[in-house]
Amino acid sequence: MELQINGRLHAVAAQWRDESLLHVLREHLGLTGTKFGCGIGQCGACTVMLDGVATRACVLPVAAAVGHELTTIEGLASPDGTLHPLQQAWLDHQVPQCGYCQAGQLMSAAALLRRNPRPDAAACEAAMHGNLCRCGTQ
Amino acid sequence: MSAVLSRRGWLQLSGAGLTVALFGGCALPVIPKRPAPSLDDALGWVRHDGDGRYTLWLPRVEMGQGILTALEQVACVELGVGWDAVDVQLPGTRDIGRVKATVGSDSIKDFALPLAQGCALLREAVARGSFPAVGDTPPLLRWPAAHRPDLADPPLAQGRAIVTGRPLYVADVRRPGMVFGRVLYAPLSPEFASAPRVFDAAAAQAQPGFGALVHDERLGQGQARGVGIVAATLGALDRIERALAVQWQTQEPKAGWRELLDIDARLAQDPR
Repeated sequence: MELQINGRLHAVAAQWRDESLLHVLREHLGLTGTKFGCGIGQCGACTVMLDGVATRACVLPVAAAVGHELTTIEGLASPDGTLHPLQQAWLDHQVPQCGYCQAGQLMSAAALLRRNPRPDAAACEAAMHGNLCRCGTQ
Repeated sequence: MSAVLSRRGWLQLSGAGLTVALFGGCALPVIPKRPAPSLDDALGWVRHDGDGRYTLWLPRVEMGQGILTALEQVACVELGVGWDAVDVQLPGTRDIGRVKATVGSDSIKDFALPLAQGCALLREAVARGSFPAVGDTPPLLRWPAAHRPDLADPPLAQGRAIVTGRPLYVADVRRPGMVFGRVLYAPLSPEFASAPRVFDAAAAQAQPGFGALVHDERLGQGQARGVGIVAATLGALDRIERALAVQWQTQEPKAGWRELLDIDARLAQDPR
């Protein structure tokens, strides 16, 4: 089994092939930027992009991701390290508090902008309302 | 008692447990109290590295409350240096003396003044070409009266690491050969005695990824005794827990939940 993640192929060892995508990303492949929040797809901390669509990694079996293009928070910036405009905006406006939910927030926002480059407030609210922040960032 | 509780039963027992915790004392460990830091403590937080550069071992845990930024600002003002001249380190427990735990909102209240005084002493000592000593009297502070526009809008501490998914949290720790563990307890407040009575070890051991079943007296919380499971993957932990199918022996509370939750009656018995 192989996964295409951030432009690179990663082999998935046999004992991880029945796990969730989140567990494989974090525990097997060491891509810990995607976070565990609830484990039931409700908080958004585990959001990645699957073929450009925001997807909850904690409830997606890893086998379902085979053959698709995955983007995690580690792959949002350019290969040369230039931050995605969203990442730069996050820093410019000092958005994060504890930061734990922010990877999921950024990935949801990035997915929104991929399909709607000029979202209005309602579209932003609809895309982001599933990302929960216990620190109160809105 | 069956390990399968109805929702009403769980709420009843939880309420009883909370009442016992409020009126009977909590069996869980208390965070040890430590005194507020002194100037002598603060002298161990900042080091002059030469060439106008300093290292600050942050005596607090940064959890998004901004204390890393705030205390670095205090240090920069008192040392009289720019933002990039101070290298802030998050120390291990062997790097600095024990300090008050990061709880509540008292970091500025308790740490800003001794840090400012320590930095002021260090500034004066560096200017003389000597070292600050315990017992030295700190000079007049520049903070909070000093206006430093270059420090008014510092970069967000750990910001780039957060937005690029760099490992920052305990959950991101990875060690070679790392396995995963879980301690199972009865669905009951630890105020009441409970322990594993029956479980299917063979079924658990047959699960792919099984590592170990752990029985150790240290696997306890209050009056509750647990059983540990170890596995090669997180998903295996879930499968092993289901296969183990632990049934628990528990101690029923003596009083009914109505009696336990009758605050007026309990206050009448013990007005304290």
